[in-house]
Amino acid sequence: MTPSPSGTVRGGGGGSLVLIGASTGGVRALGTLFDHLPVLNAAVVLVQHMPAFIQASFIRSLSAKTPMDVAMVRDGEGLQAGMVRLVPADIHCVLEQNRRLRLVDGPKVQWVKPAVDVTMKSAVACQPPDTLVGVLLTGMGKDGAEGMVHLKRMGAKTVVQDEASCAVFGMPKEAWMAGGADLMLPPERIAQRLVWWVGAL
Amino acid sequence: MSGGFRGVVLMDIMMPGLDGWGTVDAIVKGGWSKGCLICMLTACVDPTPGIEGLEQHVFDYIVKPFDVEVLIDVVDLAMSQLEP
Repeated sequence: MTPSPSGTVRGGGGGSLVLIGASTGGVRALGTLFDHLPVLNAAVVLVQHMPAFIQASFIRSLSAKTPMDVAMVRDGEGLQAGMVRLVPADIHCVLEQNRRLRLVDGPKVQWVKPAVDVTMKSAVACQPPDTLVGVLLTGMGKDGAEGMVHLKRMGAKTVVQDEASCAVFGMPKEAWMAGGADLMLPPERIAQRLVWWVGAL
Repeated sequence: MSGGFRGVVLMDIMMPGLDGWGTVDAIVKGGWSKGCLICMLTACVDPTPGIEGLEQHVFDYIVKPFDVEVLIDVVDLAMSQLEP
């Protein structure tokens, strides 16, 4: 359990899952977010639109910012608190009933693969909504907006990145306008809110 | 770029002849996107690619007028991601 910004104490169980979607400008936003995060009492899954050839260096750079265990999603891997998993390029990632991550091929969704929408929509069926958090960061287009709406309707907590801190406000704006977000915050305050929602180890 | 370019491409969107999105499309179709990171530097606040899906090939996006420190940070970040 972790002190909140207001001084009181909150925090979820170790079975919490934080799903983060991002596209253009996301590497910068995720850097700021993880600069401000302790080891969360939750598993974190990142769907960042990025070319495959920089994914290894991205994982290295994120590992330098956080003590959390950062790696690429391995097909069939189970979720554990304190892990951060990046979905590989050119394949979708879904959550299965036994809280395992499954990599699945298929058509592009919202013209992208992996799609944030695919991962977010799959999680609702496999995880109690009160242990789910959806985060949508900077990016063009609208991938993730439907997923965030779906998460929020099912009772998950949701937050989008604010316009001032976004490289491109497209994806967060679409989610916000569709009613898919409880809050709109800059990355450093999203970090505070995640600690408040799921707790730290 | 035909020699296997690896680096950061800084480009505008509103350009004469071939615009930024056409250039991104050409880079992707030419297979050169596997070695470069594209950063847009543009006055276009609300970007809409002419071809859906091109946005996923844009690493970062800076709106003019820009803070030179932000530009340096973005290029530094992109270059760091290119390290093997």
